[in-house]
Amino acid sequence: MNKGINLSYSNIDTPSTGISWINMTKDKRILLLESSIQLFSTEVDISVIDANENGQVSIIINSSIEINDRGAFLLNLEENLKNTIDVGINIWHEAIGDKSSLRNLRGIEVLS
Amino acid sequence: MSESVMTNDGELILDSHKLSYHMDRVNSWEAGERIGPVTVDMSLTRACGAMCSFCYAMMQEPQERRGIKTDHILHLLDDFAEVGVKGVSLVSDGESTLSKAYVPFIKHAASLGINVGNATNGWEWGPEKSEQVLPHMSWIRFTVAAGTPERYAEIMYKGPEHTEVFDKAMKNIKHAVAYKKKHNLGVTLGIQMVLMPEFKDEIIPFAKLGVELGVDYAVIKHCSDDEYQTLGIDYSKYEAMYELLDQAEALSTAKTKIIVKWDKIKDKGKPSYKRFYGPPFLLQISGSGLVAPSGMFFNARYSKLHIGNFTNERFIDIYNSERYWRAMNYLASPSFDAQTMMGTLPIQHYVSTALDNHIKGTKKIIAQNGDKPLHVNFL
Repeated sequence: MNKGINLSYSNIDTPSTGISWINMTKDKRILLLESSIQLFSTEVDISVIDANENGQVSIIINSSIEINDRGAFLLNLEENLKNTIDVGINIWHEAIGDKSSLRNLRGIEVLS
Repeated sequence: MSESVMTNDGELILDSHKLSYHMDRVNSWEAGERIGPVTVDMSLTRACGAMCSFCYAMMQEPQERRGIKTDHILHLLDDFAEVGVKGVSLVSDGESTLSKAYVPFIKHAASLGINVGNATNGWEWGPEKSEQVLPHMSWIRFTVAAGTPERYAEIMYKGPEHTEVFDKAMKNIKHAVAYKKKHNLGVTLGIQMVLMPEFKDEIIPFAKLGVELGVDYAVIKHCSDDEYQTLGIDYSKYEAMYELLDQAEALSTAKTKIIVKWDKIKDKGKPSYKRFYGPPFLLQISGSGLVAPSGMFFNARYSKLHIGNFTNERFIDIYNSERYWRAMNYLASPSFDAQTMMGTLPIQHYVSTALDNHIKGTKKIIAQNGDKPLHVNFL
């Protein structure tokens, strides 16, 4: 039975982005990502807000999507982008700042 | 393992892990089987009356918060028992003592044989509350940011003039120490200082305060930061404090041990592992109800790793879902790099380091026989 955790990658490096991705302008990367995302899903509205040379991509989900479905949807999307654009892509949603008014008195802004 | 300290109550391990006492889970995990967490770290709310400058909760806002009601937590504990959870620590991203579910949670956990620990500022933990829960607790760890009232109030609240919060905490801690002694309770009482380099002037006063209070231990630990250094922790500055930390440890007495979490402090914020194997053993749940593998991933930024919310779906169904195991497997895959894609020194750090070394064969986890340490179900 092998339904648990795959332990065969402990020594494997995380893939880096390829030359063609690195040589692309940020605007071109974003356009490419947005067109791929459109092909992947027409039901969920997603904006790409950043796409770095190292493959770290920031997105915002504009549609309402239940938490039960959101994670799997985003993992599927990332897998699709790795397969169709560059294996070094990792997608992250835009960060949200603390909603605690008291803690916010500290003036800490979540960086990204 | 094991970096342990002998207290009057028994062997205390704070600067290592306890996987050696849970080899059934380790062996099942290694065999590719699905395992239930030994420990869950969670909060009953994201609210808190303090505003600690070192608080990681400032970086843990998820996409939605849901109120956790007593019914939710009773079901949750039943589900924990079903999947084999042995210990629950109420730490995570909020002040659980503020929740109406706090006392029922602890009593129900005790009735199920699940051990409970709690980290708290102690401000809303007067005798009417503490006396209800102390007999059922394995440990209580009070966050005490400094040894002097003014610095305490400055770091944990609105400014140095608000020493009333220090006074309230001290009163409640002293009561707990006396209550434990009077009723000969097994609960371990400690205080904790989360050390940022700018707090170094408070290291010795904190250690002295621990001795004065008569708690079982006073621990000094690193401060976690996210991968973007939102809190701006400069880990290179910790080394300059080693001598002071040694001096603090030397203040230990027969009653009160001063403990420095050297292993994490010396790691300087960079783990040895690339894959993050700890969460299946030590799961974290947010005070928003969010179930995610680790508190490192509570923020909306990590939405792809958000598995579910136990207030709108039973935990047992979340645990048994493919999405639970997919998120856990993502962290074990090359797509995830623990050195660059998450914050520093998570609660699963010791466990993850040990499991990574075990899998690589550099240091195998070996079963421990004989007397168990204190709090063995808190990995």
